[in-house]
Amino acid sequence: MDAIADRAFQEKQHNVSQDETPSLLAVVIDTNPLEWTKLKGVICLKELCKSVLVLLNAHLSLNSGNRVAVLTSSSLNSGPKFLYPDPNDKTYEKRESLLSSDIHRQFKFVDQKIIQELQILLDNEPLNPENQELKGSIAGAMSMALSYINRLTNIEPESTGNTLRAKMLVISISDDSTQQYVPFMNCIFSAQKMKVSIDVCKMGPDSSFLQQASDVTNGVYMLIKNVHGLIQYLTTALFIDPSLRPIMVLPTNSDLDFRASCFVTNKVIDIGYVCSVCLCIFSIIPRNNVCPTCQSKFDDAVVKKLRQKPIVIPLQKKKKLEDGVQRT
Amino acid sequence: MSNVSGAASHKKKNGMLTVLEDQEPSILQWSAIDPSVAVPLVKIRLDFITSLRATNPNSNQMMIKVLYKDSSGADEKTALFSFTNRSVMDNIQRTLQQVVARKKASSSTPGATTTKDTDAASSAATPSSQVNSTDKEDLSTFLDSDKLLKDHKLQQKLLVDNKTLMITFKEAVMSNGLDPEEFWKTRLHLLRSYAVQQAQKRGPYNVLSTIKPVASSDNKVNVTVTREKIQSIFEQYPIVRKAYDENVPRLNEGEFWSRFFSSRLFRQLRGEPTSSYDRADVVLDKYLYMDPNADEHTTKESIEHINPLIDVQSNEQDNSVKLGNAPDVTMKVNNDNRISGIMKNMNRLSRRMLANIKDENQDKTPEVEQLEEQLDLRDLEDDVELEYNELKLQNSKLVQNKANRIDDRISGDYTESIKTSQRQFHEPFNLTDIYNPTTQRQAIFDVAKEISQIVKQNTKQYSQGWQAANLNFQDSKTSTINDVGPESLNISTDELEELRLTHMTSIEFLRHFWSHLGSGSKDKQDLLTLKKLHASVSKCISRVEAVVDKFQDSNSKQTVHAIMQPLVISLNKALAEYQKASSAMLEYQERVHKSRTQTPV
Repeated sequence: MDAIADRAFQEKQHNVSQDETPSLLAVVIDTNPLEWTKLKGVICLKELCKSVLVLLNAHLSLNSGNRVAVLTSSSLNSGPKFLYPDPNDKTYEKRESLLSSDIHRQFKFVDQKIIQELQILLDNEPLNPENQELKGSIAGAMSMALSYINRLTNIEPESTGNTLRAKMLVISISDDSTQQYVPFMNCIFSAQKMKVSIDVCKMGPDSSFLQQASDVTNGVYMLIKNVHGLIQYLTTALFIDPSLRPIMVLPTNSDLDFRASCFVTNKVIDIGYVCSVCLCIFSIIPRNNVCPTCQSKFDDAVVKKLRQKPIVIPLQKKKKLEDGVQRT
Repeated sequence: MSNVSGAASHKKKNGMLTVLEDQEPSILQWSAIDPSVAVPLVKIRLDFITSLRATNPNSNQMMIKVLYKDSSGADEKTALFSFTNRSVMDNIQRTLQQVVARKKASSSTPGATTTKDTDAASSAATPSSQVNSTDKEDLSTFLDSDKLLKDHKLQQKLLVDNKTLMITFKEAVMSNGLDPEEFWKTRLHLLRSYAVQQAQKRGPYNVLSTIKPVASSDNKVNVTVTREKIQSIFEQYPIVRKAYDENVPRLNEGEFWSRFFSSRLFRQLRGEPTSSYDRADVVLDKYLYMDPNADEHTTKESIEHINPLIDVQSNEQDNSVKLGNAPDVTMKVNNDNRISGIMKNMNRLSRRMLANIKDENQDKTPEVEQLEEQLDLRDLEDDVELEYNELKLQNSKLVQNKANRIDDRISGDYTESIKTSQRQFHEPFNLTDIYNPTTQRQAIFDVAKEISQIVKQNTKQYSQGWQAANLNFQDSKTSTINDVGPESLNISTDELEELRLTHMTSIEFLRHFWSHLGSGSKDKQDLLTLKKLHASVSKCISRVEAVVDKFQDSNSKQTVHAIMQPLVISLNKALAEYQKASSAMLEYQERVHKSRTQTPV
């Protein structure tokens, strides 16, 4: 009797614990100010920020153990940055709260911090963009997020014993051409290895890199067609808990494009050349017959053959015509 | 072993009759006992004896008549020997009978046996070099693409073995006139691996045990041995090689082998018990008592270099305390010497066979490897440092900077937008804005609809994927052909098969087309082939169209069209590329033509 009762108890317990595993949501926000300029009239950073705050609040309210992390990708002023949690735990002079006073305290704590950090970020942006260079990239922010996820899901549980699942949401507004292919792919593959799904909320142009990221990691790729309904996307399609992923039909809407981009020109290419040593991809034969990545010298004979234009016997129709020309 | 001899009288004089087989040439000799009697020695070369006649065993007279030819070879002569002892006579008679039988056997089929044997002898004389040279020859055929392309037999065999390849070959080469050599050129790797596969040989086995002498009625022993067998006998039993080397110039090739197969040495090597009743063989029996391990030390040393300090096996075996007074495999004091000899023999043979296997590593079982790994004294080894090829992403920064350099066009907008953002982030955040009933509500409903639409669509795709997966599972035995079930596409199996065939053939032509286009060859023949391929590719397009047109139902037609679309695109791409190259060539020719016509003026 005891044994049976025992088992039933354990089974029930098991199911409950599975449901209760908290998760970490890491959000990477594309803050490239130049790209935001292009989105003028469609959506502004503040609108996005409001929706994201609601999303974070929703996530936190699902489970008391749930955690969030928010990162920015790039700006003219600084590279990828944690908005929350603050790695340095700086204390600022008390600023006026921009949030309504009757908001739940836990939410307010997180939201306030994020707004404040964004405020600082924007205030520090130069007004005159001349001679300025953009610092940081989505890939950089993603790798920071991944290392944070790694710490929380793999390293900390060793001491605390609290297991945690994690997923990543990338909110991107930039074109692929601003991305670096290799670091990006590295991010994707490490996420795959860590079993961290990457959901993508894409505004502006479609991105084949991010499509690949979500496809490889069993994530959801969403090209936002209706920015006014952003909150609906964020809290449904892009809100699937890691524990539900294996049993759900994912609402991903990407027509996957597996093409790679050229290492030299950064263009996405159909057919190209591949370095036989480091496997990097080119749309053109690199200068000096040397691989720009690994410095391997290519075989001159092979390159010569590649450069050679095909020799053919001209097609019949035109040949006749040419024959006529020769006769006259 | 002494020669066979016995007392016999010749021309009424007493004497000794001896068969001297260890002489060259071997002879039958009779000498008088009394040296004072002036009777010459009778010497008959054994190989000159043509026949024997003996008196009936039951009769009182005991005589043997030897018919032989003289060295001149002209007349047949006879020599008559009479005996006083029946057993002595029988002994001599048997020996002589054997000699005569052997001679008859070798002379009856002189052409066949002798040539075979000399072949064996020549290859056996230098067995190791021979083996290497054949290996090299094989290797060169495997590596030489031209030879593979010309080896039609090999190609035929491969086609028979590989059914899918056969289908492609039939369709592309036989039906649509692709040059067979073209076909094989892109499949050299298949040919090569097949050739290697065909050249695999059986490992060594105990040759002697497969040889079964058959005794015939007329006192002959029939043995069929192939050249390969003889070679492996030499490899496995160096003692036989030794005997062969020492005796064969003297003995006839055929004679040596017939002697060998009826000898005690043969029986012993085969692992059969030998008894003293077995017929003795003067020439070969002395090898019975030679140390069979005499040559083994050298080979063994060259093969194994195990440090005696860690050689557990040999330490165990060399332990004199353990072995006691019976240093043999039976480990028993009173054992039959012959049996332990046989066991030793078998062990030696197994050792030799193992040593003859060329690539030892391939036959190592995982357990053996594991054991060997355990034996390694790893802490004494130097650490192996992993070597990586460092990749330097040099230009990436340059690319990024270029991409991120601020466009003049948007710089004005930028200033404005950053100011707006800055201002906005100092204004209060009302999170309830995002569900504003007047502005957002409709949008949110639309989005919800959109998402559920996507989910529905994906669900359909998933279930189709599952169906296909299930189908795949059922057909896993016939795999490759049925990757996608025709049911999910609303196409019958036959139709799907036809589509596949068309697809396969087109790809075949495309492959050849591109390899030729990229070759950059200026050879006229190659250019003509390329042109032919171009024609074939355009034919492929019409073939695809024809296949698609067969479908009447608009729904399935659409499906088929979608299936074949990528193929059509790639075919068109090939045509376009040829067209491009063709017009470039024309332009060039025109330019050359113009410059030619201008220069005279």
